[in-house]
Amino acid sequence: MKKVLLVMGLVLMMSVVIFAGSVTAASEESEEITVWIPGDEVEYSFFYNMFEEYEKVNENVDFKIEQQPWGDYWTKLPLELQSGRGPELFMAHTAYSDVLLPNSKELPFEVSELEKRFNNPGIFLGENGRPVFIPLVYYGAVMYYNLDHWQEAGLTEEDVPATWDQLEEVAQKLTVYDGDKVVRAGFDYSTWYTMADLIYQQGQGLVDKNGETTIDSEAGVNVLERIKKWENDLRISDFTLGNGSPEDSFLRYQSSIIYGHAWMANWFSSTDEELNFKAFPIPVWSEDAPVVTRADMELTFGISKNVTDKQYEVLVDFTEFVLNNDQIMLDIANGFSGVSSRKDLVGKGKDSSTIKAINSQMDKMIPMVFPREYETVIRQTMEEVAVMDLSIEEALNNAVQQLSLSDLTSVNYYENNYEHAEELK
Amino acid sequence: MIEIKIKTNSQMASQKALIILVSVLMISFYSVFSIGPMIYAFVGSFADWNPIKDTFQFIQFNNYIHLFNNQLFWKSLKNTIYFVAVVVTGRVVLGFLIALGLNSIRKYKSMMRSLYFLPVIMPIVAVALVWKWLYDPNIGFFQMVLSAFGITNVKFLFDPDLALPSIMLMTIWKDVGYAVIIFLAGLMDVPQSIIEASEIDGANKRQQLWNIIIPTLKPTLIFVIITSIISYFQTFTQIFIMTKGGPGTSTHVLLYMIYREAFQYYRFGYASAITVCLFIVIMIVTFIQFKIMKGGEV
Repeated sequence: MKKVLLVMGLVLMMSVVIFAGSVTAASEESEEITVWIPGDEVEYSFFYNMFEEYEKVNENVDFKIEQQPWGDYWTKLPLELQSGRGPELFMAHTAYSDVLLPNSKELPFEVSELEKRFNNPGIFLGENGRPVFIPLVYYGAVMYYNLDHWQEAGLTEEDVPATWDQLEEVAQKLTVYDGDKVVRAGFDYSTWYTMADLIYQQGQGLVDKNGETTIDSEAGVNVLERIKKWENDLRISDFTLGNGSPEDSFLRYQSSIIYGHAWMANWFSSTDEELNFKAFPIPVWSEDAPVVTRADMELTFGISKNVTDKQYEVLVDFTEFVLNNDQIMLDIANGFSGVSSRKDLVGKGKDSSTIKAINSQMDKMIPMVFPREYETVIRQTMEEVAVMDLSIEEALNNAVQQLSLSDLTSVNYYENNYEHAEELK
Repeated sequence: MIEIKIKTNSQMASQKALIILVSVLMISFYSVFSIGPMIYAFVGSFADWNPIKDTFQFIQFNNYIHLFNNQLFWKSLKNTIYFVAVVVTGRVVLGFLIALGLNSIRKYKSMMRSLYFLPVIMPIVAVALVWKWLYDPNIGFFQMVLSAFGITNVKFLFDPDLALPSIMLMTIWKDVGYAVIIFLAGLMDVPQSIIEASEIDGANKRQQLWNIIIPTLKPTLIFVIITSIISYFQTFTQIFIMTKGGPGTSTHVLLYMIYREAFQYYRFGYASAITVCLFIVIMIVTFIQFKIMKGGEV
């Protein structure tokens, strides 16, 4: 009996030793993944939460999140990835997809399989035709208005404008002057996507079939004339109040209606709790406008080409985990005030005026990936007309010249694949 | 005697070895970090070069042809020259006048010297951010002061006519202290005996300034002008922080254009072509200055 007990004791001890060893080995094998993200836990709480959720069910994975300032991030990231350094996982952006794609790993998913569950526009493919970035959420431009200013001016919900002519009327009632100076703009349009959207609203694509810009088309001239009207004739706007970022003038209570973006809704709420605002859809040039605005998207995190096989395995699993998790996907959609890319989650987002506005214009939103220089040049052109008082012709000539070196094929691709492409010139 | 000679020889040998070692190190350093990249950039200026996409394809003179036809390049060059001319003049004239003033006072000289030099040691990023706020047309300090005198609606950095001069003013304020210190050092070298002799001969202050002080300070003056011109041709940080080249293109300078082409659009070949042009411009200006220096027998 003693012998039996002794043997059992020895077996037990050996089991404990082997188990302890295996635990040590497992912890030694824990996978550390460096993640780059251009924002903090307040701004991107849903992304930080996404990593935490994955770590909870995969204890051997340790995400080391490195926060980078937005301005530096997009310059530093492509260069770091290209040089073989940089993070293993990184937040991507459609505007930088051309420089991120060459240094990102493809995911081992079939596009045809993804299309069964996800809306396709914006799946970025790598050299071998496999997805690299998959959209998580679709969103885009919306108008925001300050409810307090609105009430002060005696306006009601009925006055929410649906066309630009209506908006001009409302904005005149909201504008506040100090002598000659506009101190509170009825309407701050100073973001570059005002011009891009208003060209689309007239049925004009932004690139012709030769891949050249159409910014100098009749539609482009019309938009700039309208901007001049807002600045000089109606005096409902002052470009310099927002200076390219209408959200800044809105947060400073220096504008009553702004051409905004869905992502701003949560940012406004977290930055200033007293800001009383609502969103409404982008007004249209005419009722038969084939496009209302562009559809932007937020993408799955990119996997660096420099990861090890083991890290790649973990990160593919992580991407699948995110795409399959209803709550995470909805949190991301709500976080950006957009519509989830997963077909079964469309319409299940939170009840907010911003998401309602996005939903109501969704079928007239053109999915688009804009090259950075096109954005810069559009903004510059608007500034030249609105601030520098350059003639429209001269400003448009400058724009065409500056875009002559640019590769605009992505614009062409998305315009041709748009649902209402036949209505675009 | 013989022992001393042997020692001297060994000292000379080790000195020679040290000279060779230092020279090799310096040449290697400059080859790797200066000459090499310069040659690489020059060759790259003839290529369609995108390091992110790993493309490097020779396209002959296309970058230069496009550049010379690009209105933005000429605008940026014009803005750069305007910036250099005004800031160098402001720094030199103001620096010289302040140095003269400081040289003539007896009390608080070192305190005043430190005060003028203080902005020089401040980081340009911090200074640019503070001045950006000072210039804010709605909540800025300058607007508040001007409003007290009934002047409103001055947009400073948002006014195409005022934006570049506003940045110039900030740059002069920040950098004038450097010129002050250099000029003060030069003024201390002006022989007091000559000044006293001229006083006995009946020379007034203005005559002393033009005929004694300025000619004596000429090498210092030329040093400050040349170094200022070279550094202001490379102005970037304040433009990037304060206006990003705007409004429109009114504060676009060559270095900002290089940054935008290289690190926003990743057109390294095109950016290199601008760099080569900037290099040539700086070289020509420096050459002219050296010629003037020689003419003046400095």
